[in-house]
Amino acid sequence: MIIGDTRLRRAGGRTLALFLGCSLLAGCGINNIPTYDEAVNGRWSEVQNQYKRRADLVPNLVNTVEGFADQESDVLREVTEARTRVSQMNVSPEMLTDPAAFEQFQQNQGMLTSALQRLMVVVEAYPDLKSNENFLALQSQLEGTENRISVARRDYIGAVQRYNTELRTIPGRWWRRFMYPEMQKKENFSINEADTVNPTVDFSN
Amino acid sequence: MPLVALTMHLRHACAGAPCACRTAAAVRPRRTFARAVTTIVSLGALLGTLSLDTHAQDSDGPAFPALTGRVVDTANLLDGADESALDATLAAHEAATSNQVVVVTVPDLQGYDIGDYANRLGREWAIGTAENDNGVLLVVAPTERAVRIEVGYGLEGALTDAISRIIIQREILPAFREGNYDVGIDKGANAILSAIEGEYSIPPGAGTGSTAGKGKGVSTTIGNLLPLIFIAMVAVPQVLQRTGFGRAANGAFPAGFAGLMGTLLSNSLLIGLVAAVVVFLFVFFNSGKGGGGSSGRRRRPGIIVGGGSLGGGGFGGGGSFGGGGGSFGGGGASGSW
Repeated sequence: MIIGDTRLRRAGGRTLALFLGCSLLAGCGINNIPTYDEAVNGRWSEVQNQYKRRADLVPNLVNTVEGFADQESDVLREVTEARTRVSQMNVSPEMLTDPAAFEQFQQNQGMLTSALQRLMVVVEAYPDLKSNENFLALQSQLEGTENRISVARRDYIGAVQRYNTELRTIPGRWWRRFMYPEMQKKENFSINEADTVNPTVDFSN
Repeated sequence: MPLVALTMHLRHACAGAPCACRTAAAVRPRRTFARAVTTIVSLGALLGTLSLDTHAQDSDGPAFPALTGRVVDTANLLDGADESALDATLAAHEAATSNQVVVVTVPDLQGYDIGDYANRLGREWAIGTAENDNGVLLVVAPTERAVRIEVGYGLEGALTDAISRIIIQREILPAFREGNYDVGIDKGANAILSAIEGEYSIPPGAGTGSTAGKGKGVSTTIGNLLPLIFIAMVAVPQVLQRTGFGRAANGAFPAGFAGLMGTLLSNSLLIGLVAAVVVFLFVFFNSGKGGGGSSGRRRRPGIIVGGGSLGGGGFGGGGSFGGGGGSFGGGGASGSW
């Protein structure tokens, strides 16, 4: 086999061009949209996870507070109702492309956040409760969960920004038109829960 | 082109002259090939540049101190002896368990909440191993009077939020309130180590968990640009030859290869570039004496540098401490005094 033979070289040239074409395609972002979409879904699951974790803490918290401060029934009821509303929400991936549903989700979670904050303020007046080991453990779990919610939201925001940007810029727009026409822009958080103050208890020895 | 015209051309014009017409006829498909290649290269370069991820992974964050060791004391709360003793303790723990615990003191949180700051810092430094996410960060901000224990995903079961809070309230803050930062930090670090003691262990035969951090940046960029580099290494010599820079063509492929190897081995684009230039000049000046400038037949380079990404994973910097690729989810506790 002589490398110098013209036909062989032409065939080799075509193979080379084909290989170049394939590696170019791999390198120029044709897979970005589905990849970023999966990242968004993953981050959204994490956000859901942390919100659910918070909702799961509420019954225990309400019971512990009731043991010391049952006259604060208003706040306790508010917290319980907010939690029920949150748990009853129908959360599905379609929500990410539906602005109204997403807004509703944010509002419901926001109401639970405010209710919990009010509860923590009320608790200040009960020193026995504040120094109860059970309550302190729950309280630190709640703080930790709120923090994890902020982190998960931050990650989600980053992933959604990346995805939406890819859909709107070139060459993402072209790939979307030809290959992924069903992909849509996804919703981002508009209510900044990070601005709400985390419930803290001043435990000075 | 029509076959008839070609054969006629060969028969009449090439009767006496040797090889000239055959060369001319053979050159035409090669010119088309060269043109095709240049078109593909330019298109590829355009699309490749457009799809490069230019925006930052995470939105703007604070300016972080450098990871100089297991104790990063930028707020100068510890003296040298304390620092090295603590570093030794933490290093011994890492050698035994692969958990990475880092103590940081910062003079200024730059307006960030300590929880936000600590989480971003932990991710930036990638404390903890990539498989286990077993890192812990103890952050002290004396100006804002805030302290935080930030726990990696993998240790959240052992060093729970409740335990972190107890450590802060009982071990750290009493000393801090009296101004004894070194005592507080020391007690806090030791309490953290006891809490995470049994969680992970080094598999027999493996070295310590820390690889040099930050190796990811260059490798991933090279990985992404690899298709373009490959095209450059193969197509550029061909193109150069057609346009008459025969001597330059000889040097182009080895130069590209040397540049690529140089960058990979030294993890720096600059050294790769220097290597490429050196090799190019070497071949260029050497070929001038022998090969001459004619566009003779050239064998296509046989080395195929595969496409695809080289992936992350840094190259080892022996002896120094670096993050192992772990991540943080926001677990832990904060306190203030």
